[in-house]
Amino acid sequence: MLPSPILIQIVGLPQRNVQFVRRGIELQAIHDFLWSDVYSKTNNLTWCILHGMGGVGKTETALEYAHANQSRFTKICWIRAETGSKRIYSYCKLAKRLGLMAEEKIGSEADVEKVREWLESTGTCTITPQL
Amino acid sequence: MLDEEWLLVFDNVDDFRDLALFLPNGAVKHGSIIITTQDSQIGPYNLNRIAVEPFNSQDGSWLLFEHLGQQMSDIDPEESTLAEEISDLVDGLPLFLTCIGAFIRQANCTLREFIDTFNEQTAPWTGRGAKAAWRYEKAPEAVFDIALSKLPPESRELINILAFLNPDRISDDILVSDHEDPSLQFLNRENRTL
Repeated sequence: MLPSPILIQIVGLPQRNVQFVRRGIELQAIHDFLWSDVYSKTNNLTWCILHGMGGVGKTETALEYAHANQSRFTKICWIRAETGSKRIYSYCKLAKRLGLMAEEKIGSEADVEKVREWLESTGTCTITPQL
Repeated sequence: MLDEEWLLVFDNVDDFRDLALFLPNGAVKHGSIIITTQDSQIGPYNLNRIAVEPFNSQDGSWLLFEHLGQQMSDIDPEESTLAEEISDLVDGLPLFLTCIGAFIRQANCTLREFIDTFNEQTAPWTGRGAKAAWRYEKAPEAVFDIALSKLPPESRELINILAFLNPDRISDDILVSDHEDPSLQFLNRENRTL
């Protein structure tokens, strides 16, 4: 049971690729790294780095994971990381959705800072993930 | 404390230092982060890593058939072998198999015909003997060469222009307008055929 209605917010996530095939092993490995007891959700920031050559499907694999596991998260933010302005833009959109932005104007580093503070303010999750 | 379970995906990271401004500081003990990158060594050594490898011949052929809209159950073994051969031609890279699938659909050609066209395009490179060197660098180019060679000249010209603009969003006002430069006049409103 959810303690109170939780607003699931998804920011910047590209559409699911309906023609995605295979990669079951990689998806399971992501899941294990983010959720297994070893990297326990109760007390850890969990990481997973997908690496490989261009065109091999890293982005598609991450995208499929995010779509397939939407119900496990309350916030999902997809950040296009290749340039500084894209990174900032993604965070500003998130700031807006989190209601952290004072003004409508988008694109300031102050908003990035606010999002970072928000990330740091979240705590141990007591929600049972909906499987 | 907020009951939040967040996931951040940083897609296509070149340099871990670029993320300094964005990552919660070290004291944070909560949340999930996925990074995609071409650099296998990126970030602190103790982060969990997954190597995403090219598809093997069979998985590659499945992806190709997926893009051709064909059910695996309908495919005869001979077609299957050809699809695996195509997958091997581009070293099992999904990006190129996706392009090839789109091309084959558009050109309405057979897998055999595609392989022949591809081999024609790459022949000069295969002749050099340094197979390992061209495989990664030239095979992908051949995929695009084939696709581009089928376009009318004005479409190719337009692609050359688009290559210099924002990959995410291009205002059509920039393109379609009353250009005075003769080389751009194919984009003028009254001449627009694209």
